[in-house]
Amino acid sequence: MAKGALSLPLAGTRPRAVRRRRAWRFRSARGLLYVLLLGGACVSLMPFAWMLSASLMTYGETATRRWVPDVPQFANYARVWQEAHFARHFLNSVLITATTLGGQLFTSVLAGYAFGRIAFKGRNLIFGIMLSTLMIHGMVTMIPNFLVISNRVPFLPLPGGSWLNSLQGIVAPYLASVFSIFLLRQFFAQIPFELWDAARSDGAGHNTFLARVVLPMSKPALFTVAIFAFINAWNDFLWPLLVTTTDRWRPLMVELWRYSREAGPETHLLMAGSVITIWPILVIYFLTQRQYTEGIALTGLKG
Amino acid sequence: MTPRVLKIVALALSAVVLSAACAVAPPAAPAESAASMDAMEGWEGVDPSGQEISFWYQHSGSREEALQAIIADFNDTNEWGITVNGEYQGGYGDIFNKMINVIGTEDVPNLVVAYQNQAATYQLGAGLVDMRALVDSPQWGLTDAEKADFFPGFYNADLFPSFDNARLGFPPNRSIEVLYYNRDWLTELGYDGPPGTPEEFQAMACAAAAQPFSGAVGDSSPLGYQLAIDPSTLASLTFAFGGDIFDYDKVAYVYDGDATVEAMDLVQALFAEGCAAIPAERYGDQTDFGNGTTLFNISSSSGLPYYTRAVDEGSAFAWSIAPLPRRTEDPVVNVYGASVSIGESTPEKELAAWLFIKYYTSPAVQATWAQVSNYFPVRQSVAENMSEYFAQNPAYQTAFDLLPYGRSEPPMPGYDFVRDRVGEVMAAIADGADVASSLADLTVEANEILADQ
Repeated sequence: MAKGALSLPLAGTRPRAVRRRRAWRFRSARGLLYVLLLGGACVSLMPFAWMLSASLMTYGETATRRWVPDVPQFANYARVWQEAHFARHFLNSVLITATTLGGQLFTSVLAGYAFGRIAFKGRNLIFGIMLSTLMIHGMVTMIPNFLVISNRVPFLPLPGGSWLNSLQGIVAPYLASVFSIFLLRQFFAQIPFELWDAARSDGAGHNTFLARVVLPMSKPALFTVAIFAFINAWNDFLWPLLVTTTDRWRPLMVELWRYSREAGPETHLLMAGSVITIWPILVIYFLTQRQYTEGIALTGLKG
Repeated sequence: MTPRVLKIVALALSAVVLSAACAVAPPAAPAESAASMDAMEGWEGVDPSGQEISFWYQHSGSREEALQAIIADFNDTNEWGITVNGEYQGGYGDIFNKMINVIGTEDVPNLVVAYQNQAATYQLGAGLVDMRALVDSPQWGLTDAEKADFFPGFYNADLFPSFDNARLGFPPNRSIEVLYYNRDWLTELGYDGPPGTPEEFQAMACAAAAQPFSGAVGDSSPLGYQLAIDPSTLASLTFAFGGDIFDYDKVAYVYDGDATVEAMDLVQALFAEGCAAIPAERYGDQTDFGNGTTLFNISSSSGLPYYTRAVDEGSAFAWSIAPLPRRTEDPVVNVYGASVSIGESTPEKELAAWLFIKYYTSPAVQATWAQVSNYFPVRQSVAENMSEYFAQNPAYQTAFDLLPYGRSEPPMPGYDFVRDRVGEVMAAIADGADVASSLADLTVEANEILADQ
C-alpha cells in the first residue's frame, strides 16, 4: 500500500516532468532550427548586403576589400544614373518588360487553356512536342532566333524587314513561353469539370468560361507566371545585346555591362548600377509576395 | 475579365506588334555592289559626301568619351559631311559574336574594331574591304611620307598573307604584354631589380610568398604571382622563352614546342610551391597588386592607368614594369591591339569609313588618343612629340621602349576558338595536369580548328 501510496504522486509527477522535458527539447530544437535558418538567411543576404555597401564606397575602399564605407558615397548613384543615361534605358527596360509580360500572359493563358481544358485531336502529341523544347537550352536557339529577327530566313519574311534595333525584335522571341504554358495548363486542368458543365448549361462558351471562371480562380498561377516573366525580361542581357547595335532600345542590363571596363574594375559604380537595376524586382516581389508564394505552392514548383 | 476584354487585348496586342513592325525603317541597300568594289582600284570617282556610317567599338569609360569626342570632331569638321555613329557593342568577344552573325549582310557595321585573327575569320565570309587600294589612292590615300611615319611592325600587322596580302585592318593603337612588379617589396626581399631569367622570377615569387610586403593592406595572403587565364600570356611566355606558338612555314600551331612546355613547367612549379594562384575575381590580380599582396602580374600595358589607380588607392608603393623573364638574349614582347576594319557595303560608305580611319590615325588625333587611352601611338612622329607625357609616365615610356622587341600572335582565322581551349589548358596545368601531354593535345585540337576554317 505504502508502495502504492508512494507510487501515486510519482505517477502524477512523471508526466509533468516528461512534458517539461519534451517542451524544453522542442524549444531547444526550434531554437536551433531558428539559429540555422538565421544563419542561412545571413549567408543568402551577404552578397546583397555587400552589393549595397560597395555601391556606397570609393574605388579605393572596394579595391582594399572593405566591408563598410567610411563615408557613404551616395554620389555614385547620381554618377551612374547620368553617365550611363540610365533614365532612358530604364524606360526601355520598362517597355520591354511590360510588352513581354503582356504578350506572354496572353499567349500562355490561351494555350494553357486549350491544352488543359479542350479535347482536340493530337493535343497530347502537340503538348509533348512543345514540352520537349524545354530541354533545349536558350543559347542553342539564340542564333536561329537572331536569323529570324534579322530577316534572314527566306520563308519567314518579317513585315518591314529586319527587326534589329527595335522593340519587337527584343521582345518577339519571348512573347510565348513553353514553361508558362505548361504551368498554366497544369493549373487550369485542376479546375473541376462540373464548373464547365454548369457554365455550359448557362450558355457560356470557352471564352466566357475562361474569362469569368478560370482566370479569377487562377490568380496565384497567373501571378507566378507574371513574376517569372517579369524577372526574366527585366534581367535579360545577352539577347538585347545581340539584337541592338545602337543605344535606342537597349535595356538597363546592357548598359550596366559598360562598367565592366576593358582593363580595370569600377566595382563601386557597377554595384551602384546593379542596385538601381534590381530595385524594381524587389518592389514587385514584396508587393506580390503572398500571391507568389501561393502560386508556387499550388503549382508544385520548386526553386 | 470578360470575353470582350479578352478580344480587345488580343486585337490591341496584334495591332501593337504589327504597327511596330511596319514602323521599322526599310533595310539598307544590300551590299551587292560591294564585292566588285573590293576588286575595284579606282576610288577616285567615288563621292563619299553625306554618308552616314556606323562604328562598333569596345571602349567604355574615359576611352569611350575620348573616342566620342574624336568622332564628334570628325563629324563637325570633315569637308564631305560624313557622319560617323560610334556605338559601344560590349567587349571584344561580344563584338566577335555579333560580327560572325551579320557578316555579309546589310547589318554589318561600316567600321568595326577587330583583332587580326578576328578580321581573318570575318574575311572567310568575304565580309571585309581590302584597304590597299584605298591606302594607295592618290586622292584619298596616304603619301609615302605618311606611310613611312607608321611603325612598320604595326603598319604591316594588318596585311594578311593568307588572303593574298590583303589589308583587312588599319591600326589606331597598340599595347604590349609586360611584367608589373612591386619595387619596394623586391627591395625588402633583397633584390635590386626585376627578374631577368625564369629562375630569378621563380626565386623572387616564392620569396614573396614567404615574406609579406610590409606595406600590404587588406587580408589576402601574399603571393609571388597571379596567373590571369589569358591565352596572350601563354603566347608572351613562349616568346620570352625563345619559341612561338605558331609555325608560319608549316602553317600550324606548335603549342607543344620546347619553349611553351618550359614556360608552363615554370608556371606549374610556382603553383605547386604555393607561390602563385589564379585570380579569384575579375581584375583580382590587379587589385591584389595594388594592395601589395601580389609581387608580379603579367598583363597588358593598356592597363597602366588602372594599375596606377590600384596602387595609389591601395598600398601606395613604388612599382614599375619590365619585359617578361626570358631565355633570349634580348627581350621579346607580345605586341597586340585591335585594328579597325571596314565592313563591305557601298563604295561611298566604304570610302567614308576609310576617311574616318585616316583622320583617326592622323598625328594630332593620335597624340590625343594615345594620352587619353594609354595605348601606344602607331605613328613615330607622334611618339617623338610625347616627351612631356613620357616624363610624367615613366612606366609608359619603359613599355614604349620595348616596342622594337615586339612579336605578334598568329593572325589566323579561328584563333578565337583556339584561345578558348588555351585558357582551359592553362587552368588545367595550374591545377596539376601533365604539361607536355596537355600541350600536345592542345596542339592537335588547335590544328583541327585551323583546318576547319
